[in-house]
Amino acid sequence: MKKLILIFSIIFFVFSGFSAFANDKTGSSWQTWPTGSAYLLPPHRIEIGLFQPLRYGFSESLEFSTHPLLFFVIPNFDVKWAHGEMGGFTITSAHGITYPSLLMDLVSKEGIGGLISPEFDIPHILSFQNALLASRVLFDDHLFTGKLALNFAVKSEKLDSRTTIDLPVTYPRMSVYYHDFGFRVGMDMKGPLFRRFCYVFNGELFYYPTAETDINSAFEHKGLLYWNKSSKFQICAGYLLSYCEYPFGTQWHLLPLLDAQWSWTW
Amino acid sequence: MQQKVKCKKRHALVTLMFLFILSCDPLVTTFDDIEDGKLYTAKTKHPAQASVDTICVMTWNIRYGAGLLPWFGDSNGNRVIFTEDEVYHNLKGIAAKIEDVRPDILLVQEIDVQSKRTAYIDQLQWLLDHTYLNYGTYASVWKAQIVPSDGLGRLDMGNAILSRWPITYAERIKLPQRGDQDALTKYFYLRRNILKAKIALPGLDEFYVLDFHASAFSTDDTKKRQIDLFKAELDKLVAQGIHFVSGGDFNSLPVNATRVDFCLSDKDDDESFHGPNDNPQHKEGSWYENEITWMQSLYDSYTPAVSLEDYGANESFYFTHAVDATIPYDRKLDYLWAKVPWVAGSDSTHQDARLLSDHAPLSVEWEVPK
Repeated sequence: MKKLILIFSIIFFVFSGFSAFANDKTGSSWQTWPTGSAYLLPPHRIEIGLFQPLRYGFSESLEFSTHPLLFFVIPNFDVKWAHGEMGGFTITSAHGITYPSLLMDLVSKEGIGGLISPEFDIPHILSFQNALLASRVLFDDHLFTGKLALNFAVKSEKLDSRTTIDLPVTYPRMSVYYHDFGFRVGMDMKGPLFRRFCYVFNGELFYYPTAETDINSAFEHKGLLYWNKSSKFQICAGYLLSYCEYPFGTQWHLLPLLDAQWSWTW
Repeated sequence: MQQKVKCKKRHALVTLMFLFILSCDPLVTTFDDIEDGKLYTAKTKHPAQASVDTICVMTWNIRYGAGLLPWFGDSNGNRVIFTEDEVYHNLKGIAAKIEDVRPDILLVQEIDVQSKRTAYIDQLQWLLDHTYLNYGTYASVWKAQIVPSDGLGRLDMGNAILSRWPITYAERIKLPQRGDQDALTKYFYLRRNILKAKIALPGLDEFYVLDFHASAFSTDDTKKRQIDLFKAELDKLVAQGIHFVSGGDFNSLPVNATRVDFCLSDKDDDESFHGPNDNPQHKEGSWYENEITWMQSLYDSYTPAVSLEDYGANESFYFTHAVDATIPYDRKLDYLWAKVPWVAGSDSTHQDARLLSDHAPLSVEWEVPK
């Protein structure tokens, strides 16, 4: 049972990373599935995906989100805060806090599932994400979003650099635990294609100024095709292209993306 | 016409996508039957003799530059990931030993290239840059973006050949994988090979070096099949009249070894073997009784650096390996083979290198045929 929970947590952690901070969800229009853009969920609307957090529109200007299952191994909470319009852009800030130490402890083990060597102690880590999102409608029904984020982490003691997990998606997101702070800059386009199909194209750069120059950046690009059954359900499939500077050199990876999402009003 | 253009465009798109996917790095690397060995060159080249009468050949399993540090996978240890300082310290010791013995051709097993456990150091490039040897070739045995067990992470360990003279061609010859593992373990596990290199040795039109590392822990006949394939490669060269030297870590005892059971001396504190309720009865890789004849065909056809007569007369003098880091070497697993006899009495089993690896280097002189 413990192994099952562990495997599920790892899969969840990796897949949830695909969508972290990204504008990879849209609907027949971005107003219906606004997540990831500078737009908020309407008040009392709830949205969840297989690998997505649970999101709740609290008010016209606030949205809360958390990964409900992952919460028990990697406690996390995010707030999205609308700031109105500026120069034709809708402006929102997003603020999140994550405690990854539990999950890192869980995968720091002997045998199968050990992603981190058990010889290391994992300190208490609090990771903070702060992003500014600006969205603007282009060509009537396509949405452009730009994002600038500052992430930082505080630790109870130094985290040994030998505890890195050298995998695409995971490595660039965990880098902040080792290098104290970092920036993420991204942009995406989403919009309708035909009938019930929509697209999302996204690019995001990770940059850690305090890391050595050969491991201080990563880039991810996503392409997703959505099919909206209704305003309550959609599925998506696509790819993630990852370029990352690992401690052993740079690598490219192409990974498949799949998800199903539900939404309702409460 | 328009249809044709559309079709061409579609083909181009599919081809581009296919090439693009191919260009990405897989999480676990698998290998074809035959692949090119990766070639290396030292940053600074040292002059090599333009004519030679004899060359010194050495084989050494360097235990990924970990010295005798207690790694969990092969020495009942509890360490998994070593520090950069630890690895460089051991590599410096290995380089010093190479400088001391001065082999012209060096066969290396268990050399790490940018593995997490050894601080991502490219050990082959480092050895080339810190010794007088000029050229190298490498073939991965264990290559994975991540091994999701015990925190091992990225691994790239393999066989290497280092030479004073240029390596003009190298190939990785695939060996069978262990047949006694479940599919998941097997997928992430070692993929053994023979590394075969053509070296521009002065005085010979064609000259090959073969480096081999057999399965250490298989409990079925995997190791026998690997040894047989190694011998078959030598046989092919003999049939073509091509000169060679070869060797490596065979994980097998000489056919006249008097001790064939190391289960009790190799076991960890919490392990038990040979008891009525013990299952398995023997420790993997420590019981050689059933396989003691597997090297016989090599002894029958080729000349070892250490003859059976010499070995039988003083076994401990030729031991090259021990699992327990606190005891002297207690068995011979490492060999050098040739068709043309080695220079008589020129072999050395360098047991003084005990602190540098769990294997001793073995060196010998080979007379270059005229």
